Amino acid sequence: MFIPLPVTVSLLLLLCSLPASAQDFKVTLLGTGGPNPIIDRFGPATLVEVGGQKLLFDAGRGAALRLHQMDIPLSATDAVFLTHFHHDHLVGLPDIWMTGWLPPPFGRRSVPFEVWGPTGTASLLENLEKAFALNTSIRIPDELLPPAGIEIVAHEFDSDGTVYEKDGVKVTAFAVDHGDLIKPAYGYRIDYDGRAVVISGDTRFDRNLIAAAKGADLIVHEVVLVSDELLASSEQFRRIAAHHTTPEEAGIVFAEVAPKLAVYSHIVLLNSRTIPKVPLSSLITRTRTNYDGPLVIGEDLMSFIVGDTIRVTATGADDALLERGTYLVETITACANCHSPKDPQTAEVVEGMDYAGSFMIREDAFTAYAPNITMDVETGIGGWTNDEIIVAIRDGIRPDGSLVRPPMPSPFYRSMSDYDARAIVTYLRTIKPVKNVVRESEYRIPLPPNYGPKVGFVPEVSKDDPVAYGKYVTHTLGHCTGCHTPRANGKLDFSRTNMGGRVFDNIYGLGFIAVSKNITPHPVAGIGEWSDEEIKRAITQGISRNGRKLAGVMAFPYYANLSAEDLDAIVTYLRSLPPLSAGETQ
Amino acid sequence: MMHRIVLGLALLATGFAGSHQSTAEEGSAPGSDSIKVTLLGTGTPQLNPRRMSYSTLIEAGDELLMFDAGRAAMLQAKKSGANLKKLNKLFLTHLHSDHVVGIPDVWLTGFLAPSFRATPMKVWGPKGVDNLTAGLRQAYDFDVNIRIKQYGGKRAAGMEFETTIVYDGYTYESNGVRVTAFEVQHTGPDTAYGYKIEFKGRTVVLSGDTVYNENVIKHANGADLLVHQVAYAPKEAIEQNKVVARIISLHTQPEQVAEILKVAKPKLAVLSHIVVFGPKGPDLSAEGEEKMMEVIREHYSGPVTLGQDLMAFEVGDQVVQLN
Repeated sequence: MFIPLPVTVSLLLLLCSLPASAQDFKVTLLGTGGPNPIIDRFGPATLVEVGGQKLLFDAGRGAALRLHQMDIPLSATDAVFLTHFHHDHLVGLPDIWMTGWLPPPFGRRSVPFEVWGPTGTASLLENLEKAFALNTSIRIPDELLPPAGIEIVAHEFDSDGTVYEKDGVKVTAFAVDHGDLIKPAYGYRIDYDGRAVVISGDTRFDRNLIAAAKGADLIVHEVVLVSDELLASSEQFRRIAAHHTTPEEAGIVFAEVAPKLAVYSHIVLLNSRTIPKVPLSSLITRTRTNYDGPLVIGEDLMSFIVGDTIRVTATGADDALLERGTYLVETITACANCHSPKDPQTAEVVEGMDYAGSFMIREDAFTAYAPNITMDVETGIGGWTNDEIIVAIRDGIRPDGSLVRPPMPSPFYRSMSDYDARAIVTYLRTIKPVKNVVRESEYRIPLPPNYGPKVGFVPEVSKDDPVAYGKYVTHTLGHCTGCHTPRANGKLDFSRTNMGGRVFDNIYGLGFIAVSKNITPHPVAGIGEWSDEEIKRAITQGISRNGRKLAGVMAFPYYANLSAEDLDAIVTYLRSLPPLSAGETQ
Repeated sequence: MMHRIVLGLALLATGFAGSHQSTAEEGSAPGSDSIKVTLLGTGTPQLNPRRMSYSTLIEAGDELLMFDAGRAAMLQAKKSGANLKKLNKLFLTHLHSDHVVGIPDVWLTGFLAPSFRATPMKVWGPKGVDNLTAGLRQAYDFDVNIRIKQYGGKRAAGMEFETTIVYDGYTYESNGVRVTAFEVQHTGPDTAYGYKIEFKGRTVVLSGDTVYNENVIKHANGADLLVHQVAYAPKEAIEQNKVVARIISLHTQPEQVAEILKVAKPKLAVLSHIVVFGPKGPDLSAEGEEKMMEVIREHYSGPVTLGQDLMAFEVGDQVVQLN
């Protein structure tokens, strides 16, 4: 039997009006891993911010750190919900509870720590209090901390039903099947203002979950990814896998629930010393056998804004990374210059189509249509993981193994630092999803199978060496060389690097005709006689030395916002190049 | 039915959960005769991804010993490349939350694949450590029972604790490694300890959290490596902020660290458990830490290093920083 609510909470509901906006329904994956101690996937924990409340579901390894990375004080969680009692869902609890009580701004909890969970929750918490009693009894007199802030209130339930209701936010628990021995095990559904989010908890394929999740906008589901070879190799792995849901089974769940977006979290990746992990991308392909709707492989600190559509964002709290990514994409890499389609009449970006692709880029070698790089999961790159996006940018290989083709400057982006690559992905995650299917590009040149060995770690380039840094800005990030170097037999001719002379005849279908300039410091053929200011004016305003307006093939409006430091670096680098002119090739 | 339970703060009145036995197996360590020291966490309760809270790993011969288990200790141990299967000995300096919040992870994840620890987690610490382990064992009882049912047999012992309460002068000896606990002064008597680790004539000393303390000097005298904690705040912050003053008063200040080093003269001193305040509160910046180092260097000209997470040292004929 289930008694739904303490009287006090019900009264509160009557007194509070329902908040009008559904905009603040935000779900963040604090940890997407399992028990294995790995740095990029912390233990299971999911934060739901809704109706002005912060609800935490499970608290695995590192949950306190992830909250901190989001600039959320540990004391700010209103309620913690436990799905079951496996330790990987619980080991982060003591840190949030105890550190959230300390004097710094991340702490200062002065009211009891409230935890909801199945029968057993009270015992867990009572014993944690006993275990850490000395910490409590030392700190109260020593640091003058409020005793109420370290108290715990446990709310237990033992059957399906509503377990929490406050200011229009309703949390419903439903039993799931995590194995015969692992009972109780629950999933949760959070309802608010007509929207619903479901967190599966740890479970095998379970009809009760499907019933409880019906009509949900977002479903966060666990999954196990293991090769058949590994399953065949040991009883141990078969047993672990049998406690979880396979991608094919999850596909059935998603197909029946039909959410606006399905997300994998608590990703159990199994391998042994001799049998490697299955590539993460196969999660998608295997799920696709039963489900063709929107699907994302979760990553730590990925957030989902649940509105009419669902927006996926990356590490929102890492302001420095987002700021760097914004700078790069909106200035020097100028991704929109190709990826945002322009109106042929006005040459302005088509409204609402930022980064949605379909923009035609035509040269002798190809007629390419820029891909949709918005966060739309079906037609854009919203379903790709951060690492997959980075590999696509730098290695020029998509998650399905296919080649990213010209004019995408992957050969130049290979030397992009890991930090900048992550910064760019962080920015891309903020792009509004736009549904737009892009037509197939045509190539009239042979394409290589790849652009070289796998990129791996790339450190940042020090600004202490102005030429090296200038090369990084110009050659790597700005990929200037890509257009300013002539082609021979369909390939860039690096014996004539930056010597210009390529003709871009109506490349964008916007009527622009341009010939790329020799940007080596050759006094006659190049820019050797140009002043620093003349070079910078050409880059940022599209005005040549003689005052002529340059055709808009280059991304002048983007370069206009380059930092003074980076402009200086570009000039320094260009001046360091060997002066070249036709007939004097290297 | 739903229960609404306000839990009390009562201490558990259990007896000693572990034993005081120490095994004196003087085995010769294969290979190296040096001690490897890895700083797993060099921070405090501060939520700082650059400095996880305090934990240190010692490898000497066949012995793998962890000292304190702060935030993310298991993750850091994994990153250090240590053999997690062997990780079953944990010494606690004291029971402040930042030194113990990592224990559940070390204990319970260590039991799972790929570590498969099949022996009890042995924990040494000051008075109260018995309640800590008994409480954790009970708190995670549900998980423990499931795992025992699943894996059972000989491995079941891996889910248990063996707890030992230390005292000033307590020694642990095994495989040629000797660990000596010595009392230091943190929040009260009997509550905080430092540890001296000796192996084949090499000595490593961990101060634990302490104010300036003669016992540290005594045990660290001539040590090869002294890992010492430090807390620094500018004068104005100490004068204007009671909380800062209190925290500083429980730790060793840079000038005092310099004094200790001058007398003890370790071959190398490394700072870990680093507390730095600026005028406006905690200062987690490298600049703030550098300011603190300047104060130490002003008063002490010997070798002293600012510890970083996962920094490792080989203590042999010479003391070498490995990374």
